[in-house]
Amino acid sequence: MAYVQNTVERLDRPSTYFDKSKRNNRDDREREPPKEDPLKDATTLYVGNLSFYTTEEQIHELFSKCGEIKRLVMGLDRFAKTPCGFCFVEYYTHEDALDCMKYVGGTKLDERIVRTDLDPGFKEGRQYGRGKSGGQVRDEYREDFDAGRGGYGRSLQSGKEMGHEYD
Amino acid sequence: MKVLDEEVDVRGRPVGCGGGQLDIELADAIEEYFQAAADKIYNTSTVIGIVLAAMSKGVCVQRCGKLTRASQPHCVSRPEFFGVRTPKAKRVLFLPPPLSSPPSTTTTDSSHCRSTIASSLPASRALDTLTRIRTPNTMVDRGGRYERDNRERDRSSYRDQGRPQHFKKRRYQDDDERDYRQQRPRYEDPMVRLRKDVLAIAESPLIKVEDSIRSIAKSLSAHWDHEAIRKGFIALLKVLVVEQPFKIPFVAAIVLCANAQKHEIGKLVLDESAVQLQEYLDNCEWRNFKLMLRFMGSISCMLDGEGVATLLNDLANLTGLLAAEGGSSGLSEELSHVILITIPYILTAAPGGITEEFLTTLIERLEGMQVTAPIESLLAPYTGPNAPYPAMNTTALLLNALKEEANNGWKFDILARPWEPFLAELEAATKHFFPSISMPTSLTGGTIFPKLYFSVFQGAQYETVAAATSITSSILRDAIGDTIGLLDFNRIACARFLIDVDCYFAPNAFVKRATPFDKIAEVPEGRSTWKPEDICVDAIFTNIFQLPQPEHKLVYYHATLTEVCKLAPQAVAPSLGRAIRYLYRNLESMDVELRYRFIDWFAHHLSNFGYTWKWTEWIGDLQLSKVHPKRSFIQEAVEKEIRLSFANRVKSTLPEEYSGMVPEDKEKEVPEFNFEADDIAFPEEGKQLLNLIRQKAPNEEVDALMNAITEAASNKGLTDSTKYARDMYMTCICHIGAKSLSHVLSCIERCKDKLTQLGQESNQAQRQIVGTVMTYWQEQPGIGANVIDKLLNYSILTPLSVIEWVLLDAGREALPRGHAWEMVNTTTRKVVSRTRNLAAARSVPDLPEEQTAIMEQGHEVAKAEQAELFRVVMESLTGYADGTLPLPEGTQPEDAEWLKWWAASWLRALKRQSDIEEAEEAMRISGATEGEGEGDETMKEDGEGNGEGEGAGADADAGNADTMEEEA
Repeated sequence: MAYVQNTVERLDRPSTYFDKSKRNNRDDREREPPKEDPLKDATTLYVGNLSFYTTEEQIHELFSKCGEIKRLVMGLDRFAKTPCGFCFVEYYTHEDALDCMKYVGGTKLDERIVRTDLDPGFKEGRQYGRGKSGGQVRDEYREDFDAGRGGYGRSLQSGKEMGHEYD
Repeated sequence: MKVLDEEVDVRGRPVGCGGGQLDIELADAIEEYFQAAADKIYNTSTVIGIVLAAMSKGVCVQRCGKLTRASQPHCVSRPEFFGVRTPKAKRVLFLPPPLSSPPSTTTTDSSHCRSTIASSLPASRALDTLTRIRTPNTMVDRGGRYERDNRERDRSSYRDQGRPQHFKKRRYQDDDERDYRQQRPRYEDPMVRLRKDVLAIAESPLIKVEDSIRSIAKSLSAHWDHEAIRKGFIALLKVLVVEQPFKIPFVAAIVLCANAQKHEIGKLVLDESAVQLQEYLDNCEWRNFKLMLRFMGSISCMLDGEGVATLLNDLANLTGLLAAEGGSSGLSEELSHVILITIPYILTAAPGGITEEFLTTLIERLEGMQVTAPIESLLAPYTGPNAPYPAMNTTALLLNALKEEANNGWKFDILARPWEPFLAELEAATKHFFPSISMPTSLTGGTIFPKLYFSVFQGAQYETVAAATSITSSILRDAIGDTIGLLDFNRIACARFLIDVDCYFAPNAFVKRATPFDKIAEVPEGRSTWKPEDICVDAIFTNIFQLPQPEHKLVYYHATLTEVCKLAPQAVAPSLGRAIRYLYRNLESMDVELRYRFIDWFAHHLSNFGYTWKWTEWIGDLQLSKVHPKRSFIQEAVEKEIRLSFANRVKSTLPEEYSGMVPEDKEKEVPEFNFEADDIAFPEEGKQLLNLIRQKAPNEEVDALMNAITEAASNKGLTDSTKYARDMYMTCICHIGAKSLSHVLSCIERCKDKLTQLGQESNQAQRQIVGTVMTYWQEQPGIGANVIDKLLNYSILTPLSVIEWVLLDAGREALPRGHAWEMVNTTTRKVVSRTRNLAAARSVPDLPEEQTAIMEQGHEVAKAEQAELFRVVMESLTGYADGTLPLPEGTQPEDAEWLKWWAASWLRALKRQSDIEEAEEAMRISGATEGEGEGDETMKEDGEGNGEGEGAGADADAGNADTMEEEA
């Protein structure tokens, strides 16, 4: 059946994050044959904006409301190996993952609004933060105080001006 | 000159190259120019000349090729004339002005006025006019610009205040910005505009809906010649009907009104919707069918003769046939609901050919076809002598309410009648023949369960929701229920519709939004006392408390309630509070499954709103016995909250009196390893075993130690000597994995073989493993239940052993506990879904014979296992419920009564599951035998359907369009 546009936006679409790498070279992409959408049957979700203190059990409790969870991978600080505020939730079916986008994304867990995004699948190594100090990049230069995510950004906390590495 | 890929205005500034963007007013003028060209008023060289002249003035308009090609195929642009071709502008259209061509059809005021100017001038001056129209600085353009916006202007009655049309408020920085950005007319695709307007119909209470209807109908008839508009509108209409059912009467009014202006509109809409209706019917998509039928009923006014009457009659015949078969599939009930709920909409739509007598007879006929599904008695939300209201079937309620309404002269006060201001026009409009709809040859789909009435505001002091027996209640519940069911892909939009529910029904059908409950008393006699917030909260709860299962996952309804609360906290929170109190009051008669859903929702909801609840009002109930449903509700709700958060946080939100609910032990992240204590058998060995497993010692060492323990136990003369080592081993795994779910999972994974071996010793051994896990996690049984679930997935435990542990080992004292229900419910559902999957796999066509046999065998095994499971459940629960199994010593008589009540309640809920599965299996068997006979017939039907009719025509069109695109 032909694609029919819904009368209101759908909440189970992936965000633009995933496509970001391709955005710049538009002409190249036009020439390539259309690739199969890697998120077509995605069963994994990236879950963001968690508190560092949220436990696997809490995540399980909320996310299993959308279907049985196959695997749960906590995002860890690259150095400290402690939770750093994100995780991957893998379901058994694509349906459950979409339902999770629709029903859980944007609601609260541990009193924080969590962000969910469809993900092509967890790969070893992705569980670690990619920020300079081991956490997520967003926690590096954050200027607001977020008690659930270790206070101010780590670079600010270290008491140095931004860009001190050039000194 | 850079014209081809960018529109350029006279001063050479690019206006933008909108692929697909089209200026509507200009497009109207363009049509006429091309008409002139087609009529050979110009010869080709003149056209080229005019185009060149236009280019020299910088006038050129880029249009989306598709639209133009379709309507004006002879005017496909010829960029090669000018030797310029850029990749982005493959299809560019140049606009010569026409010599003379009066408007052939009624168009909008703007284009009409423009073409009058154009037609009165010679060609060269027409070009000048056109140039000026495109020039931002002239008044003409401003007029056009405001005309585009004139809908808003009409609404806010700017004109009524006598302001000039070009009136624009001067703003700060006007001089700087006007020249460059703000003055440039913004061109909006007419379809985009139309879509926006149609979607917004009736949404705002500030805009008079008849004005919107009139203006949409007007622009629709003005632009109907454009294929994009035609296709776009039809597509929009089809999806709007099945996504936003509240708007059906309004969309119908638009169509009626547009039909009065241009009868082709009505014809096309009717034909296309009929095709869609047929498709829904053939696919047995009953809800979509119902809504499309409702739309058809709402446009009865433009239907020739009796319109949908024949269709309703056929449907009633089909219902009769199905009902005669016994109605166990629930289809006859569903169909009669579809027919009945259409009646109010037909009667409140603009008067058509259907007579009231016909409908009265129809209702009488359907009344004779009512059958009660055998499962219905198990679906009632409340049971027992204290039930707040008896079980009521919604179809029966609707039927009776309609009969009542027939005696009162079909008032249907609740429904909006947006067509009323246009009645005179509509009656004069062309009527169309209603295409015939054929009944489906085979009816597919599983069982449709009867829907029972549920309300959280029944019998309140003031009637804030319509009484169950009234027709208003049936209409509202159906419409709101569909909206919730259809918009699951955007809960926020859904919540918005629920909050705005009063916009879509008759004016004054409800009290003002956010009227406090106690202010309802001040509503004057004869006015409505229905609170819109109560109605939508009621509708969401109806879904949550739907047995056996709601349409979507429960969490959808949780999330929607959360969104509703976020959108209008002041209005909704008090309604929600009353709903919670109502449910709490009736806990003693509530079905155990629903009780669990209530706890689950309550805790989840509070977790989204800072865990605030007026806990103080339940302090008195803390004195009740632990097995009392209310006391147990409080305990379990707190428990659930802790699972979503942590003990200290929840404790801080509870009054002092509740401190007993969150004992110190719950605050510990990791429970104590009980072999630390000395009063347990073999404490030393316990610690040794823990170390061995933790250090990943080889299996031989572990086995040696465990054997030593067993030997020591039998030497001591302890009964069942193997259990000590088993208990110890599982406790060690729990303790090592206590840190988190992934810890315990990796530990189980590592010790999988040993665990499997332990479990295989006997069924008793498996039950013991369950017991060990649950004892270890006794303060946080939710985690324990999770671990059990994982062990089940590893097949270390059988479903039966889990069920037996809960019902026989934990026993009846566990029945009031949430985790006990959760364990049994998840386990039975797993078993049931496995059986269902095997049944489905078995009936896959074209499966090799030997595979079918394997599937068949697997299914039989699963079925037997399932039957055994339910047998154990029934047997033990029946024993508890009728008191044949003796109570433990020292049970209070009052507690004994409650324990019986719990067992009876569990029994009913599990009997429901088991009965449903039996019925499904029976359906599958009968379906399989029937299907063999019918298969060929359906195939033939399909084959014919593809070869002819609209579908094929549309395909061919699409094909042509594609090739044309390539050529261009």
